[in-house]
Amino acid sequence: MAPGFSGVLLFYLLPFAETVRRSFFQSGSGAFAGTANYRAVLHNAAFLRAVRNTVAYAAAGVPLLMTVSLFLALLVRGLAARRKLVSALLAPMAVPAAVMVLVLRILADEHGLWNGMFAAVSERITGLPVFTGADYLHSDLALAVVTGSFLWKNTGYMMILWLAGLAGLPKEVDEAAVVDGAGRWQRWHYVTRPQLAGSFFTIGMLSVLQIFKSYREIWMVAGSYPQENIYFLQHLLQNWYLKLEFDQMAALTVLLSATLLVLCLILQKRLEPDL
Amino acid sequence: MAAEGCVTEKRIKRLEKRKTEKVKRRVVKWAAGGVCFLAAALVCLPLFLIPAGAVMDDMELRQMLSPVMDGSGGYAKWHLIPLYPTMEHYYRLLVGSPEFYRLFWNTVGMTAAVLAGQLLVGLPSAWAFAVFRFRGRGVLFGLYVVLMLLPFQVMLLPQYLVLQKMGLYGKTASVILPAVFSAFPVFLMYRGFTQIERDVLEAARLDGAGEMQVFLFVGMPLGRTGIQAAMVLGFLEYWNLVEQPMAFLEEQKDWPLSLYLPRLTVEQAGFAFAASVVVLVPALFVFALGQDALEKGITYSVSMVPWDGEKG
Amino acid sequence: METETETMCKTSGLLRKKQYRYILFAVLLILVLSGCGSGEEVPMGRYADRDVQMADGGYTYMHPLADGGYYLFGEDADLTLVDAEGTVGTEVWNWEQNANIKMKIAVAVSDEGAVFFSYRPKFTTGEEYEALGGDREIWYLYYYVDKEGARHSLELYGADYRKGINLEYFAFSPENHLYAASDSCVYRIDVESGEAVSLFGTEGMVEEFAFLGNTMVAIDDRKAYLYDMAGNRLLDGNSVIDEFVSTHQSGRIALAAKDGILYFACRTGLYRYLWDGAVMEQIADGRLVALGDGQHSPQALQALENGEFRVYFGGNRMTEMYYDETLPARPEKELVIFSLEENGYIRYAGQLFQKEHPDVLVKYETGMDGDNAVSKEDALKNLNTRLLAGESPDIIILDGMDMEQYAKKGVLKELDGFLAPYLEEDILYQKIVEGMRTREDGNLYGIPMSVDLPFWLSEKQYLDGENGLADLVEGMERARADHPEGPLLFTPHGRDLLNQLIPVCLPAWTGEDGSLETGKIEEFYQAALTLWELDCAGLPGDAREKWQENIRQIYNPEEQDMLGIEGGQYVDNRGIGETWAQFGILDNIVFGMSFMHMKMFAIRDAGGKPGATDEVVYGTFTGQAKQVFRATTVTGICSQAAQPELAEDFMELLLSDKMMNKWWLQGNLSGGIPIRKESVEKILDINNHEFAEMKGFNEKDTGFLHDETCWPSEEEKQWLYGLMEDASCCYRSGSMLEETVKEIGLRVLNGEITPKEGADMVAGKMAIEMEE
Repeated sequence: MAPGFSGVLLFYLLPFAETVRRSFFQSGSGAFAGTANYRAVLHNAAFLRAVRNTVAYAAAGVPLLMTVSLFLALLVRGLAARRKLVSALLAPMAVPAAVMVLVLRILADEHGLWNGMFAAVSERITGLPVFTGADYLHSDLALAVVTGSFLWKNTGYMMILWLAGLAGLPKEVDEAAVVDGAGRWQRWHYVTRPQLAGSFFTIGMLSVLQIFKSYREIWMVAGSYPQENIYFLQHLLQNWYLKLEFDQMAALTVLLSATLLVLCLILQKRLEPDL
Repeated sequence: MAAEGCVTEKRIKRLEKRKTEKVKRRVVKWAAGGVCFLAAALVCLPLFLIPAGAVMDDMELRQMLSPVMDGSGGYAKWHLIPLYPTMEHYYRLLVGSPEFYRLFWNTVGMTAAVLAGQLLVGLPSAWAFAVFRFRGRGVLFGLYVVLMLLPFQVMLLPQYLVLQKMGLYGKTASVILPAVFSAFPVFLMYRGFTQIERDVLEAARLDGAGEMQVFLFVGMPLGRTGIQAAMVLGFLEYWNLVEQPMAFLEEQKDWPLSLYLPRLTVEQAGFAFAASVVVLVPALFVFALGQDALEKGITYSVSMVPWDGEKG
Repeated sequence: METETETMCKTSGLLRKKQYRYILFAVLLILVLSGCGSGEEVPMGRYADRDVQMADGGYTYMHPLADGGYYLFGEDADLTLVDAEGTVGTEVWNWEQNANIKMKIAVAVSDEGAVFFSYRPKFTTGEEYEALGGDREIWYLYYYVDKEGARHSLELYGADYRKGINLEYFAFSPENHLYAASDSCVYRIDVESGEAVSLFGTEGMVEEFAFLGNTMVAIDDRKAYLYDMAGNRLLDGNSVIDEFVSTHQSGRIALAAKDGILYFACRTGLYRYLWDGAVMEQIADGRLVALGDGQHSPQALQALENGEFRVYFGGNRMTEMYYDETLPARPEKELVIFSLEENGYIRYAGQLFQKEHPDVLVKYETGMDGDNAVSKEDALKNLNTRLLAGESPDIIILDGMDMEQYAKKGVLKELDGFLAPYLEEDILYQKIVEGMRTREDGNLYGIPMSVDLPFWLSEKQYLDGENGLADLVEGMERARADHPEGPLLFTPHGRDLLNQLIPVCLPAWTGEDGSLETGKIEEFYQAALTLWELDCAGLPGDAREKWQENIRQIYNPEEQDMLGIEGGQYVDNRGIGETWAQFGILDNIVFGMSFMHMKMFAIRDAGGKPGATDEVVYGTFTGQAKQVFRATTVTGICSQAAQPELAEDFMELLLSDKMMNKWWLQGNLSGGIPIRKESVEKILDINNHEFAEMKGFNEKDTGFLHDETCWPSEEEKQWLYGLMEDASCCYRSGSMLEETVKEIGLRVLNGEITPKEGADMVAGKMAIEMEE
């Protein structure tokens, strides 16, 4: 345990401490700034927009991802072809980000394949080239596209974790329920689900992690200043970095970490009684 | 006479019920299969663009994709079967770029080192969290999680400073070491370990096993699924790692493959596709291996939780 | 309830933790402290080099001789022997009488003075052309001149050789055997009969041979091949050399063998390898000698008896490296220069500065090199990391970066003091320098080394006296009325039109206080749309696509912003009659102006363009902003520079006549117009033949270029000087506003959104940026 902790101390806590320190200073001149940075951040319009968007993205993406992947995990368990199916669903994770972005552009661009297909289909149906597809990534549908690609990429990932979690459940309780005559739904609701609480926590946290990580692909597709609904906290962080506004970055980081820590601890209390 | 008839009736009814049950089971199974298959197809469909595009030459790709590239009118199209299949991209990648092999082995080495390190360091940490009850465990765990969640942008500068001080900047270790100490594998392995029942551990201890032995011979095998999940997912993560090598590795010759791919304009699509096929192959290989291992865990679960009532 | 074991484990675990923690702390402390090294004695002695004055002539090849002399040979030259003392002797061959040689490609000279080379013949008939490969690829022919001078063309044949395998590199061994390399094989050629015997296969193309006793060493870009010439067999490879060769792939490696030691010369320096040893030792750092010049690769290396080395770089460049005890082995001071992309001017200045200051190590670092995954943002992130960590370069090239932002954050040093003498004595173009002041505090933080001027070419009736977008549009409307068919402008893609108009409009889009002038953007879009529609009216759809396809062979629209004015189709032979106006930039004064002058002359002389009814004129461009100049190689000094005096010295060098007059001689043709007045005058001096000499033009070509028909006239020169004096509005490419306007502009031109909607969208996007 000890070496692990020391490593974490060195490579993560120490840097974090440095960030906290810098949040109290001005980046240009190095002068002490007190809480000025924090106040600047909280009043910054771009920050508020980014927070709003990020929360919306997470609020949509995380539950969806968890539900869909759990559902698929339950379905897949009884199937013979499960290995191949799981591999297939996991495949998008293995694709390098740059290529995934390329594929996304080819599909979702205004002149991309999807619109092309829709146009062709609608033409065939109505006989007129009526359909003009939207430029998805530059329209209000951008968040939907981003959430969709988030699901696309991560479903397999979470599925594996659900499967691992399900695999670890003790069978006796469930068998006892069967003997007691419980139906499938009842078994699920009263037996399996509560025991998955721990997995729930893990997968939930990892989904949030994936939300943060998805920044790179979004940035490659839509640039540093994308459509207003998909402008997230990470965009703000990167742009501040490029503008050398590290003091504000640091303040934001501290705020973010504090929020996450509180959230995490609350969830832990509820889902991981052990801790 | 009447009693016999009753018994037979009951038996017939039960047999019938079983038959319908069986049919119901079958239908549900097929439905489940169908849904899964659909999901898999939906997910994989866009990916088929990649190997297909890898064998199309630049002219054809440009023809198909120019609306996306130039913003000119019309829509992009895709030829399901390449009109002029060519191996030129693969050729350029595998034969014409000597640095490719070097970078490939860099990636392999880096990923292997990271995973090995994570096993060495993360395993005991996860075990400690799962099994030992020490004060502040919850808060420490929470801290681990939060650190894991922070985007790299914020850690870039401070980690850079630390690495500089340690003289590691520019060396491959500067990417490997922070990755080794990442909280990510700890998180996953912890999950695996918590699923082991206390009693089993107790039994082992009562049998006279020391802590180390409990860990090695009881904990690790039983927590297998968590460890494997950590390894497989960790592999995927580090195989395509981009941010840290870009920031901390100066010399091109040390880079992993993920940094080799050119800035992807649609012009370079063919080459990019070919490169990603080559990058995908080892990942799929790892899936196969990992699946095997995960498989054991999953069969275990299938037999445990029957999909439908076994005894009617 | 805890069991005993658990309690015990807990305690022992905790204890172990504490111990570990202390140990680790100690280790950390040691590591940290070891980072701070103590001062050491400075070791002395390193290699420096001197230029060698070469004999006149257009040489391309040098063959070293064991006694210290060497042969020179080249495209237009005869075989020249320079012996160990330096006396030059030339053999005269009458090339006119000989074979049909259009161009010599690769050459080898033997120790005795025999010459072998590959060449491309002049084709007189189509059949000959076809016979030698035709359109697919040209096959080489081979020629041999023996040491007495008897010459003949050589037809090669062999069991493993067929016509069409082009041999790209040759060398004669000390025993006068000829070896040749194709891209997959090495051959020995019998010069009498022409038989080519294949010796061994190679993975890449072998580009250098060396001969060490009986062993031939051949290297390609991955490994070395060792061949036993006496025993006629391939030997085992050498992993030390393989490792070296595969990690030094940029630029060429030249080899020299002497006394059992193999020397390697490449961009990173000079190395020596004791045969069959385990170590490749670096004896000279490339950065401190001419080897580090990225623009010239060593073609041949010669190890001399006195421990010196002669390095030949092709053309007329040759240096000798000698060991100087009085110089420190590694300069104590460093001058760090940073730019996002490679900049030839700075690179050359760096080398010049290095030569003049042997006690300083000049480090030129680029954020993005080569075509890989590092994007501009990533490179900037890395730069910012270093700036925030306190490690600042000394000189920073601001192309592609937001100068205002970096100035605001205190990264850049104020240059008013430094530039005061330049401005007082009118050395630089005043208004250009003034145009570089920042909006925020009106100070100077960076100055361009050269500028480009936006330009147009057209018939007098359409665009003369052009004064703004409205005039442009109106002129083109008239042109379209006169010529309903064909394109108007040289803008095959919509993107091109935007690229050409933006430089003269962008400066007007930002108000005094930094806010965005949406109205002006709308105006811009409207004008662009009208022009585009006019253009497309005459060349729509398929025909346009065909044009785009043809153009792609000249340039790649994604990579180019504005076209150099002489690259356009307006006056090109192929394109006369195709377009009626052309916008571009004047980015190379000699070739720009002389080509333009030449072409104007040719057109007027030939009676004008087919269909042209009026005189053709050219002038600078006024869009929404006037007297615009495009600033390139904008250089600044960092406020946290470790060597501020050296940085200022470097700036002085950059701004000196020495650099401004001559830098483009180093092969960087389109670099803009220097901002130093006297340099511009010198370059445009018709009697200044330096460029032609440097390039190795023969007298005929030089005379042709420096003739009144080609060279700008006095009137034209005065006009250019006037333009430079007047240029006052700075345009810098690569800003976010520009990218956004271009992206949305494409959709406006496609008709998907109206100009007003486009302008609003731009405002929307920029809004977030302003908020941050």
